[in-house]
Amino acid sequence: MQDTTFRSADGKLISIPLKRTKNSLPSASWKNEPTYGININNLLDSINQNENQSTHSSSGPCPSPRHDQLWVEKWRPHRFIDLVGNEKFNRRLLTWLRQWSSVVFQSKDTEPSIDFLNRPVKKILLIHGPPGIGKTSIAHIMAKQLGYSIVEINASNERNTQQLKLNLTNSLFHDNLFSNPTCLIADEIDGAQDSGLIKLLLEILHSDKRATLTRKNSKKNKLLKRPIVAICNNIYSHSLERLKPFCEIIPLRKPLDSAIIERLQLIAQKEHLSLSLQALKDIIISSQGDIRNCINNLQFNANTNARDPSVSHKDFNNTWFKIVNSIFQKNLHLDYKLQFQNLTKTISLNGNFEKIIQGCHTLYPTMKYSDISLQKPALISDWLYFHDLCQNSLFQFNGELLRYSSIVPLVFWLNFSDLSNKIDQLINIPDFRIKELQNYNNNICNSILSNLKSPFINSLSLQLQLLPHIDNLLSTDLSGLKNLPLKNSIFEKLSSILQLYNLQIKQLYKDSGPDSKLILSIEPPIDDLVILDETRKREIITKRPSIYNQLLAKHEEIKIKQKQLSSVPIKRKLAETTTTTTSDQSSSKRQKLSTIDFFKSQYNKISTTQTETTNTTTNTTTNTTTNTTTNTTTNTTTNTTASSATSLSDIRIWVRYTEGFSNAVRKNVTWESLWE
Amino acid sequence: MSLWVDKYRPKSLNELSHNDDLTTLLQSLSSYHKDLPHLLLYGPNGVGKKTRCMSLLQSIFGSNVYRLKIDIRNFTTPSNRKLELNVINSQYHIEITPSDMGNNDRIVIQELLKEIAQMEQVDFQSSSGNGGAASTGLAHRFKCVIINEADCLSRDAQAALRRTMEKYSRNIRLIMISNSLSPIISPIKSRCLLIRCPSPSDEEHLALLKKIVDAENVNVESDDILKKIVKESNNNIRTSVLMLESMALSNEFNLKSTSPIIKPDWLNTIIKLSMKIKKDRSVPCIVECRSIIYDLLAHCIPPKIILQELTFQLLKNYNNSIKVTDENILDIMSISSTFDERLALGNKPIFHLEGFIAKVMLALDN
Repeated sequence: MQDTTFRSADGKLISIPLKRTKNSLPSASWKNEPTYGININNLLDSINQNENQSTHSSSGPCPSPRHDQLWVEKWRPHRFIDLVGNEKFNRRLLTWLRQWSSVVFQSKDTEPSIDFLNRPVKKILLIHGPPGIGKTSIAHIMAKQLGYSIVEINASNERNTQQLKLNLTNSLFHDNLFSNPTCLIADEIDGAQDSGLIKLLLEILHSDKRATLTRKNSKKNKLLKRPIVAICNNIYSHSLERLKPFCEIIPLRKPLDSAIIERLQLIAQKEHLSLSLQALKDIIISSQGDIRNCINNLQFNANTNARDPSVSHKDFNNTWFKIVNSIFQKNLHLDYKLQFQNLTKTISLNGNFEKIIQGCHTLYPTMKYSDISLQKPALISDWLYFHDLCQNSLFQFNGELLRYSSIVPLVFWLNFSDLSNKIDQLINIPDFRIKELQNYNNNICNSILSNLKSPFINSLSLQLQLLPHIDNLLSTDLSGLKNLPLKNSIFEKLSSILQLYNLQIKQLYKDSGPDSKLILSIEPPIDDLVILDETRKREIITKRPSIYNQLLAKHEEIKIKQKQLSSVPIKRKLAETTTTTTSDQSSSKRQKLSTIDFFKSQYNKISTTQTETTNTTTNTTTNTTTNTTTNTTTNTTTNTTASSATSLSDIRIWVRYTEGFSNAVRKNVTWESLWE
Repeated sequence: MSLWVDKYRPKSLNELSHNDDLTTLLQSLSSYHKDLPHLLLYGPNGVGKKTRCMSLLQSIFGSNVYRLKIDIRNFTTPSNRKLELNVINSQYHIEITPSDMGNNDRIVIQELLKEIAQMEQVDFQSSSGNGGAASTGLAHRFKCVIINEADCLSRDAQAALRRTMEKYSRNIRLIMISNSLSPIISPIKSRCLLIRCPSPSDEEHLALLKKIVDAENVNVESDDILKKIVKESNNNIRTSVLMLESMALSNEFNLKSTSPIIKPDWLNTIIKLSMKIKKDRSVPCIVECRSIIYDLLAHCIPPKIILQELTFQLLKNYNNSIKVTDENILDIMSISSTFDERLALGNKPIFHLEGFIAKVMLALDN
């Protein structure tokens, strides 16, 4: 191939070099390469290669099953590809963190953002989800993958505010010469005692917000240039309320069982454990999707097997689920009395009556036994009450009655044991799961209640009466309604309800499955709290999004209308009294300004806010009066900062030419000429 | 624009709808507004106890009592646990729900009430207004404390309340609101003026709904549907108004007498559960019922309410299930009361609810 040449009009020879395609090999480090544009096959190959190398290197001294290290630590995922489940959210997390690259590493390949430093709009990433699904692991891996060094703050750290502040400023605002830029990971931030940390974070965020407005990094208002990742269990915790508007919230869910099994199989294989698929499944069920717990159990099982099979077997025999199963099994060859004595002994030795009785209770309806009508279940309910009373003595009489609980399993044995029950059954006590769900639902309810300024509603009537009806109202299908004025009035009503109860229609992930889609639903999720019926549960995914879509459109429309209505009197007021500007809000200073100064500052403000992120936080406090405050001074409350973001649509400066006169000439006038 | 429940809620004593005797009593109370006895309002859910209480305050203090704000108070238990309590207050009153704190309600009563009680309220208005009061210096004023769900107060908390009520009666007046009188200890009852708020009669209830229907321009075919709503709501005004609103909305403001009644999901589930119990009395059915009960419990439906609703649903006769005889009704009632006690004393609702179902099935079989 040769360069093309041609002669130009003035006789010169011009050659045009061929455009050379750069044939650069993608390096494995993701730091310098965008995620897309890499050949996926190359990438996978390189991963495989790495894997082979690592296995070769570790193949020599094979890790023995009785390794000193905890397996939870040993098999903590170390790379992105090791992560189990939640692929979609993991990717969202990674994109968020990558957006920081342009400010932290000065890389050029990120997508342009509204932020002038190309940072993401929300400055904090908030991960939430049940315990043991790898929230901390994900955060660490992501940060490592993108080349950050990690500073972690968790419940074990010093909670002294002074100390904490020093730590935070050190890690967030000061560069370290020797290591990579830092990424702050604030673990377990949803505790009552952590309000200090949250306060500090808020302080940082607010000062950052002011600094972004002025685009200057002053001593007082520092620009945040490092990513912060926060992790919590309970997103509806009260202490998080104020932090949430600044957060990109990512929910993590329990991974699918199949994904966990794959991971466990890999571990078992690497640790030279031979466990059946059923055993693995049992482990998963007993730990209820908690991967950390699964791996712990796996190690425990491996260790007991490795030592002495007979001893471990005996130990195993005494666990509560073994006892429960033996209660339901009658032995043909043993004497009735002897069997009773044996059982008494094992039960009193074990001492975990609570668990044993719970197990018996969950298991008995599935067992075979002879009965006339339902006499035995009715009888056992009396004994269960007896047990409950004994347990309660723990709170009143120092648990003196506890030991009598040991009789209850024997009653189970007397009534429900049968020769035909031979195979050990798996016991899955749902109590813990129910408790978790209860907590979750309670949190939703409380978060609504705490925002509601009505003395007439208590939590019970909110839950049982009000919320079901609100849910019903909001999900009413109005598309078939012909009468337009009526339809509009209904929509107006619904949107006022949304505002009153602080509900928002948002895109959320409703499905826990791997192919969950973003669908419109209500936040906080009152439908989770209210709906029990299966067919209606399905409607959340199928029918409701379109209804919500319509409602959302109307809601926004109404809000804009309200805003316009409230801004009209202000405009008029401005026209009348142009000499002074009233600033009625508490924080801002009062200043007397001339008309021109006022307009000038307005103009400056608009031009700065235009580039600023107009984040669509639907805080519709139409305090347009605050927006007319001329100076961008220290407004510390969240409320005012939020409204300053939405102020863009409110503040307009109108200049009208009086046309129709002979001397009215239309010409371009610059702003400078107006006040110079 | 808000929900009809809030929109048509009476704001002053003159607007109160049913029970005129009670209204006159409250009006006479408000006329001696310099002094108000401790009040204990009791009555079933959704008959307007709180509405009456607020309108009484309104008539004493003026409409500023509806200007509310929410505070969050922090308490520390002796075992160093930190607790948070939402407190709704206005200039003139403060409202607490100590039962939110479970066993720790005593601390709330002790600390919060004492704190309020030890502060003297000064009434600037009347002291500057009339010369008579000015002669004695600043006029004195009491602050009202509303205690919600007083029947859930633990014994300790009630005992803590006893002395406070007398000692600081100069500075605070208590208005307690409870569903029933029996859990409240007699020393407190004797210190309060007991006011019973009865349910409205069917006619009063119907008139109330009709007023709303007229004001909102809802076309109602006949009164039958309204009567049906009144019946289904168990004379709970909040439920009936909410029901009316969601039915009106889903039927495009045209209520026919055949329009289906909209009930909350949890109630429907309990009705289905009762059908299931009547239809199939066997062990596999118990397993199914258990999962339903677990589901209800997970959705934070209190076990007591499950038991109550389930009992009443079981007593009803439907065409397609077995007939409940009079003997059965007696049996079910006695079983239900036994298990109500067990629920109250015990800690494991699932045991008792399931036991209730098993015993009822047995009773129906015989």
